[in-house]
Order: sequence, then structure tokens, then C-alpha cells
Amino acid sequence: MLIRIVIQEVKRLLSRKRSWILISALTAILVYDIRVSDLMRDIPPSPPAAFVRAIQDTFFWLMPAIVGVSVGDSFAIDRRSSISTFVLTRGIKRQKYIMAKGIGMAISSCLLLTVSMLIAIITALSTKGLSSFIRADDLGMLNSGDRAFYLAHPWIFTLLYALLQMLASTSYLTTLLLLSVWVANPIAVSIIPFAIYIGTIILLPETAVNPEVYFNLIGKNGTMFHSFLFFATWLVLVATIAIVVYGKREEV
Amino acid sequence: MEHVVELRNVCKEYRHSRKESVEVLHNINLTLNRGEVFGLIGPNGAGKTTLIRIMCGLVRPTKGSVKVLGIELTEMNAQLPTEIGVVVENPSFIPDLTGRENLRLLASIRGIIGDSEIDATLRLVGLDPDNKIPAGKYSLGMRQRLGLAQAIMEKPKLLLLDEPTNGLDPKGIIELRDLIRQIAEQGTAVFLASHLLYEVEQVCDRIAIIKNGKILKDVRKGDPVPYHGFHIQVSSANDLLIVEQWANKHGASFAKGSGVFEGKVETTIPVPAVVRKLVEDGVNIESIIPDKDTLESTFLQAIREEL
Repeated sequence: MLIRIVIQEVKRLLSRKRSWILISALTAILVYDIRVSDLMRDIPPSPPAAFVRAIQDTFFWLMPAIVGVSVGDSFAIDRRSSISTFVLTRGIKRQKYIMAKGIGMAISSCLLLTVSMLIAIITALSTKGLSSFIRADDLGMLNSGDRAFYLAHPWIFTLLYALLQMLASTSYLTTLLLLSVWVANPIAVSIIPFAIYIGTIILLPETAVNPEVYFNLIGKNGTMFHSFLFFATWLVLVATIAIVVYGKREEV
Repeated sequence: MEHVVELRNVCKEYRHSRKESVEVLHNINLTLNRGEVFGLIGPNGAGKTTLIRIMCGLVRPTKGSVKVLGIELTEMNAQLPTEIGVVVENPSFIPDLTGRENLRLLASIRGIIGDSEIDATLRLVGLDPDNKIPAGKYSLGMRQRLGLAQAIMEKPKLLLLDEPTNGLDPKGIIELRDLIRQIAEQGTAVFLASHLLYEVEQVCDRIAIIKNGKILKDVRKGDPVPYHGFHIQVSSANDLLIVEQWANKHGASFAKGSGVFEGKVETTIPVPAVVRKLVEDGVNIESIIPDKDTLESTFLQAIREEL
């Protein structure tokens, strides 16, 4: 039953026009960053670095908006309509239902981001003018551990970086899922957390000049492994709260 | 015989704050059998919706026992009954999916029916399976029909209907009535909550009146109905005089009505016997209506007694 709900959820979210419009917009920005911004640098980076840089430039502010609006409101829609009632009266436990929704939303968002990132990687590989050499200064804001790893295995580093973005998006989506347990308003659920996130970045004194610093705090002070650990902890914690809280609620 | 639904001393309390709570259901005892259509009538806020939600496991009772399709719905029950169809009050669906897509999504959860059954159900409730309009643009009547379709498409053993005629046009109401009877004949137990007395009376085998969370009366179709006398209209003043004389002779009370040559007689003598006698006496009867308890009068009486 859980798997069937997950499959339906993925189908439903991937059939939304707005998901594909938003992902197309994200892809266009990534492609622009790789084909124009990187080529305008004095020393253009190598393809993997061009890809990672494009993600660094865009994802920290755009990703919450894109995954929030494209898939983040799914559970709020179910709860606002009678769908959650109709699903629950088909014998599925509340905990399993919210788990299925979370997994479905995460898979959908990862598939959408994969499409966008694949196009970005292909663009990086096919762009003439990017450096054909992997260099130590390819990526500006990296700690020494990650830099060594990047120099030794640039494509594995790139793949892990892409996976990190997916984990981050899943953690963010799980937060929206938890919010939907109390707020059954799709617009509020997809927009308000993003507004709070951006507002916090802008209002924090340290990041007022350069918001990227805030996003890269973890990356600079720790390795990519620490980032994985941070987002995984966030995901597990928020998902557990969502499952427990929703499991105890009643459809009044 | 095992009941489809068995409620014993069910109470439900909602806590507003640590000190304040309100009891919405009080000691509800109720059983529902296979093929039976049970109607619950009561004013808004009487507890009808809460009772339906308790029966499908969406709300947990504060006290009492709830057994549905052989499963005890306790506080942290591991298993909820699957063979239930529910129509909630004012149903709504995923707005950007069509009616058919919404049903497919719901049908995929149990995976026991396919597209052909979904299309057949849509036709049965008067919706077009090929309609590409998203459910978000449906009228209230169409949403109600779609709600009914999702509830009956998997042929449930228990059908719970909360105000199912909301938004339906007269034709839709008649069709729904026939459909409910048809479903019950196939063995499904139907629980219908409504505030429309006439609708409940037309379709149900048993009717309970609920107010302030308490079941005030449980009436079964075919139960003897209390008879209080009759209203009569005759053709002339002389005829009315004969009726009055007859009433006085038989110890019945007679009162003139507000209309022309009309009167009301309170008696326990059945109408056919009265008609026979009056016709013999040469009375020209225009109309005669027995004064029996109706669901409406029973409802009003029960509500008044509660006050």
C-alpha cells in the first residue's frame, strides 16, 4: 500500500506543469552560468568545476523556492481537500501515509533536480572554452580536505556534490511536510518558509553583503561529509517529528 | 449474526484548554447490520460528523468501544478497516486532476479495481469519465457525485454518508435515493447522516434522532405509529354537524377547523371504520387525513423533550 501511494505521488507531482516550468527556469540559469559567466572569467574553470560553481551560485537561493512550489505543497493540498480523509479510510495507517507522501515528494524533487543537473553537466562537457585541466583553484570556497578529494577524483566529487543538493532539498521538503501537519494551506506552506529563509539570509549582518557566505559556512569549516551529516540529521529529526505528530492527530 | 458496526457507550470529548472541554458525543449505543440503511438526523452540531469519523477511525473515542467490520478501533489500533466507503460533508479533491484521475489515485491505494470499474462508477453517479475539466472547477453537485463515486467504487461493506444530498439537484437526490437502496440490497450497510428529515425518512430502515451528542430516539420502519385521530373536510355545514354528533356519541373530541366545513377529531377509532359509519349516515366526505406521528413530529417532540 505504501509503495502504491509513493508511485501515485511521484506520478502526480511529475505531471504538474508548474514543476517542469520551474525546473526549466532553473536549468536555464545553470546553463547560462556555465556558458556565459564561467567563460567570462580570466581563467575559465574545468567542466566539473563549472558545474559545481553554477550550483553554488544558484541553488542556495533558488532551490527552496523551486522544490517548495513544485512539490512542497502536496501534503497541504491533500489535507485541505478531502483526499487525506479518503486515503485514510482505505485502511492505511496515518504514519505510513505521511511517510509515503514524504518519500514521494523527495523522489519527485530528486528526479526533477536530476534532469536539471544532467542538462547542466552535459552543457559543461560540451562548452568549448572551458579549461581542459583540473586545477587546484577551480573551486574558490573549498576547505583543504575537499580540495584534495576534488583534485584526485573530480567527477566523483561532482557527483557527491549533486547528491548533497538532493539531500538538502529532501531535508527542506520534509520541513514543509511537517509544517503541513498544522498548516493545511498550500500557498502558505510553499511560500512562507522560503520567505523566512531568504529574509534570514538577508537580515543576518554577516551575510548582508554576500549571502553566499552563509550557505558556505558549513562547507568552509568542515568537509562535504559534514554537510551530508548536517542535512541527514535534519532530515531524520524532522521526519521523525512529522510521523509522530501526524500519527497522533485526528481528522476533526 | 455479527454486526457491521457496533458502538457501545461511545463518548467523545474535545479539550479546548487544560480546564475546558466539551463533550460532543455522550454514551452512544448503536448497531448496524448488513444490508441495513440507518439514518441519523439531528440539527447542525449535534455530533453526526464526529460519529461518522469515529466509525472510520479518523477520530478516536474518549470512552467506549467501537467495532467496525470486526475490527476494534482502539486508541492506537494497528489496523483500520479497509472495506469502508465514506462521503464527507462538502467533499473536495485534488484541484488540478480530473475527476477520473482523482479516482484512479484513490483506487491505486488498495489496487482491487481498474479503469473499467472506475468509469462504470462515474457513469453510475452521472459523471462523464472523459470529462477533462479539473476537479477544482467542479460545482458542488459534481463534487458530491464524485465523492459518492470514490466511496462506492470499491464496493465497500460499509458506506458512511455525511449530508450526501448537499448541492444535489432534485433529480440527483432521487437518483441518490435509488442508488442507496440498490447498494443496500447488495448487502452493504449504509449509515446516512443528514438534517433533511424527508430524505432520511424516504430511504432508511431505521432512524435515530441525535441532539447535543445524545441519541434521543431510535425509530424502526414498520414500528407501529401512534394515531391521534383525523382531519376531515365535508361538503356542507349539515355534514359537519353530523360529524360533530358522531364524535360526541363516541367520546371523541371535535374542533372546527380554520377552513370551510373542516374539523379535527381526536379519537382512537381507525379511519376506515369512521368513514364507513359517516357514509352510512349520508355525510359527503371531501377529504379525511389521519393524524399520525410523522418523523417530523417525532423529531420535534424529541427535541422539545430534550430542552
